[in-house]
Amino acid sequence: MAVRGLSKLERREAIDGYLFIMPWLIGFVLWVAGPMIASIVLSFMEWDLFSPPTWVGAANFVQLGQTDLVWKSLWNTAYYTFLSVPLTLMVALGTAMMLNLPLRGQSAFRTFFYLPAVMPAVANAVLWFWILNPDVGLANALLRMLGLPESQWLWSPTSSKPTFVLMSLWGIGNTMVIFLAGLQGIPQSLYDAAEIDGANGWQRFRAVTLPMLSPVILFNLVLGIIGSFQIFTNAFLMTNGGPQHSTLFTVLYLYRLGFEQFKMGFASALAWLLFAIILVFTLVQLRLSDTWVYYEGGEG
Amino acid sequence: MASNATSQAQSLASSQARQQRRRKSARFYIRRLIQYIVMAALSVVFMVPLVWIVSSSLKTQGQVFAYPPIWIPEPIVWFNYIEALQRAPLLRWLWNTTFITLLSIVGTVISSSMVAFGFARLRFPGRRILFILLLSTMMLPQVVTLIPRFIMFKWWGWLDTPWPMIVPTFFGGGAFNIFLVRQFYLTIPKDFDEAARIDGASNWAIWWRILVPLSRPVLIAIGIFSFVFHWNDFMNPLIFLFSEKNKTLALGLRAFINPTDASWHISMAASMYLVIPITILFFVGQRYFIRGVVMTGIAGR
Amino acid sequence: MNNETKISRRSVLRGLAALSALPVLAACTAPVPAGAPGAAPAQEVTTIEFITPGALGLERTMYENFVLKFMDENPSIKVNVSFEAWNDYMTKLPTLLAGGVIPDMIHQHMSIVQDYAYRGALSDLVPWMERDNVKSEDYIPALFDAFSHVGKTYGIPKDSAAWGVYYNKDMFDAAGLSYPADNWTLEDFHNNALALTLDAEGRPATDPNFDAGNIEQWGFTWWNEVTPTFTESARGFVKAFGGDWYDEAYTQTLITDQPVLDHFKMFADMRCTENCIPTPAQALGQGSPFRSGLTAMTVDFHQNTFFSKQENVRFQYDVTFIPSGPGGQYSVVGCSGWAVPADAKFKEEGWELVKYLTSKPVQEYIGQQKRWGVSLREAVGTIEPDDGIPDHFAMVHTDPFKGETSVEVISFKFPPQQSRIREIYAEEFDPIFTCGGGDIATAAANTKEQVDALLSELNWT
Repeated sequence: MAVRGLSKLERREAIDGYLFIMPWLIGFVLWVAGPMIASIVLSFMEWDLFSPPTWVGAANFVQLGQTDLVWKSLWNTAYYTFLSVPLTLMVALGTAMMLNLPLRGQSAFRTFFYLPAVMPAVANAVLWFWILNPDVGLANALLRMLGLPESQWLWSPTSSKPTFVLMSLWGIGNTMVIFLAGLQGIPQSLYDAAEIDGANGWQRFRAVTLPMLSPVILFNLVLGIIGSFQIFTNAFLMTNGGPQHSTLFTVLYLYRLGFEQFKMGFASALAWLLFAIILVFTLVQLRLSDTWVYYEGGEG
Repeated sequence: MASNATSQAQSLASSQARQQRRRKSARFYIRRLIQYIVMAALSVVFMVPLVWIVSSSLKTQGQVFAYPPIWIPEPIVWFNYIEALQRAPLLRWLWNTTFITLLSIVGTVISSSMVAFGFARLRFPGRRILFILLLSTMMLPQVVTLIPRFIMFKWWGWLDTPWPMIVPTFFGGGAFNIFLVRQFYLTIPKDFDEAARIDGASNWAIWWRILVPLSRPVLIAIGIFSFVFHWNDFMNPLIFLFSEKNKTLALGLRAFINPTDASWHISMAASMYLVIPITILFFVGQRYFIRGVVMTGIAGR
Repeated sequence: MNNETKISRRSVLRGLAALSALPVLAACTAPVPAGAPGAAPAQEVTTIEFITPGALGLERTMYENFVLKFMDENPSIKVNVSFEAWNDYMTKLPTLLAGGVIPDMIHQHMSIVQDYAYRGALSDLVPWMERDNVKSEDYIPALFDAFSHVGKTYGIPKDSAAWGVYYNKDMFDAAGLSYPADNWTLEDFHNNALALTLDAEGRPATDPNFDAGNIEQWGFTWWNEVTPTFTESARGFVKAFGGDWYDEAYTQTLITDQPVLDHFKMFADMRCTENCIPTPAQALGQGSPFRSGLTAMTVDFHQNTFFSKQENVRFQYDVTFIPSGPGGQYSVVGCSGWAVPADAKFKEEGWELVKYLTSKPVQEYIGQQKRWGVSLREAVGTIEPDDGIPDHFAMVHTDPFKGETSVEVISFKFPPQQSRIREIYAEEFDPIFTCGGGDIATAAANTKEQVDALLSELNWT
């Protein structure tokens, strides 16, 4: 859409458009683009942090293909993401809907559900270690009480990732708040109209809530995937990638490569590989979103 | 507009009638009871972590990991909170964190909603590509840009100052926030824009006078998220700050957890200094997520 | 919209620009804090940057006071000290060094010092030591090994930790066992562990009816590392067996030698088939299993005494040497040290600070806190507890440094690429030590292959 071919009105709109996004554009150029470009360049170099980097061309990328742990980490990350994101979305939406009910004490309830998401990571780590302790922890005590078999939680390679997914469910606070804000934006009149038409609760949900909420669902879905692909903190603090590298997520691995093994060039290459994967997933989602997302205000 | 008023009146009448019927139904009360029970049960589940941390913050050394677990400490050691204060310049750090956080909230809320308006409502060449570019800034793990950002801000002369944390928030406030507000703007029908445009309003007026007030819930959410992010952020302060007196609370508190030192009770007390302000802010802020705030003007289309 | 409320594009632009410009202006015109890197030093005073991990509380206060005293005694030097949590320090230090903001004095743990030295990040301190008459004999010589390589020394040890085996006397009494003799053997150690592992009914692990699902008390735990591979605390055991981690010249690992395989086997069996060592799951997240009364023995250094008293443990305990074996009996020492980065601006002043922090008055003060060790030989006695408990504290934790001991005092030099080596060991040995199965000889062979390849790549001469 070349500017020259626009009508006067369209040109004004385009100029306004640029002006509105100018803060971000300026910030991007000033603070974001530089480091991103630096890390792309680094991915073609070898840098041990203490001596000047040396050019190695595509060697890092070739090496990526040959390093088992790279693929292991990507597998771990994908496993975690595709389990955690749908679960957390559903739980977050469910709790948001409950928190939207006209109950007394909603302020308190909302705070209770939100708080676990904002605990300092270190306190969280200590806490979960203790809860998940197979012998004396609450988690297994609960399972025992219910007559269910106990789990090794973080300490077995098979249960470690599901445990991470479980822990992520406590962190739904932000997603839930976003859903709540979205639910607030759905006019009651739509529900009333549906009820008059004889729709029951589930049908109202499908006909009114879901479509009206779909832009927000898309947001949480896209962000959920972008965020889950970059999971790092709990693995860093709690398992350090173990046991048997089952919780070696990609960002943890590239932190280790860059800061502990002093292979910053290789780490950058891995980061850009992850970037490419995330980008592809995001573009696919955005493409598909045209089929299911309903924008009341039009795509614009 | 007239037909809108009629249908508005109609739906109002019908919902009032329905509510009257509801009040009488026993089924309604049972449903409410079940909802309360479920909420209470879930609350317990969600709050277990926090309760344990609070309880541990009031224990004596060695009690924190006692088995069977001690939920109500005896004695209750309020002094832990004082001791935490004594061990570190917590109040100084609290001030630094507050300064950074408050400024960042202002920057984020204003600039992200502004940029989001551009992406949501205005057409310009390259909009799709720029939007993808915006999103892509979230896809590169921060770990690999740590050192380049460090070098960049060193070049700007902003090391050991709070500016690396604050200034970028005035320039968009981050892709997350821009994307979120944009999605919200897209749920708001263009009717009002159109009406205002007919009356001769500029895009700026439409943004500031119409969309911003209508998007109060999401702006409150952004405010909360921004608060939480900057309050808890330790990674940026870690690499940009040096002097003890410039450090932030989240960064400083990380030094409380030492795996060989058994003073977990002090660590937990120190962590509570981080959690309590967030709790208060959230409790107050979410009150504005009231149904109906957004409704004026949208209902009865 | 009526005219009064009309907002022109220009006025909004102006407003927003002003708003955005404020913080930028403030940032750009704010005076660079005097202590910030890049600031020009004032007249005759040299300002140096000192960065170290430091726990909040006593440790920080102590070092802050040392720094103040140092500045008193050296009026021409001003020190800006910055503390971080340990994990954060390991992120911040490489960032600073890579970003060109080089501190003048830094903390280096023995496990990473060779990594940094290998990459040229640290100054060689030998010329200064010779000039200022700082001798390794004044310190604990074994510690210097960890910080030196091929005639260069990259750090001065700042503390020390002599490892021993702590045991719960009450549990020994209850089981009718005599306390370990000073020269007890690996077999004694093993048998004790078996006899001291009890299930809920009080049956020891050797009992045919032993209920492994209901263990109340374990025989032994490690301190922090849950697997006895490649670290200095486990080296005491490996050497006792008659093996070692690396050869003298660090050209290859020796872990496929039979004594080392025996070492691995003993500990793997103890954990997996004999149940006398808790699994990592059972040991972690609980504070110290020894001090909580869950295990009868543990390997630890003098801080265990300090914490036992702080936590008011209710049992009698004592400490003894790491057991002896066909290879001898060893006292293994670990430590951290002070180093001066190679590209520091004020190396001379950094060195002065290093000397100060390892000088007698400072070391004695540190030792008297009973919590941290000391590296200066003269000050070693200060860590001994005033109440004389436990009985053999001096034998294990201080006599070896005074040269009054029958065991050999060794340390351990961690080769560069520690992180990668750790990764390789984890890959091969995790299944074994978390009881997931696997063959020790194969794991050792695979590990050796990869680590040897790494070592030859390093060409660490």
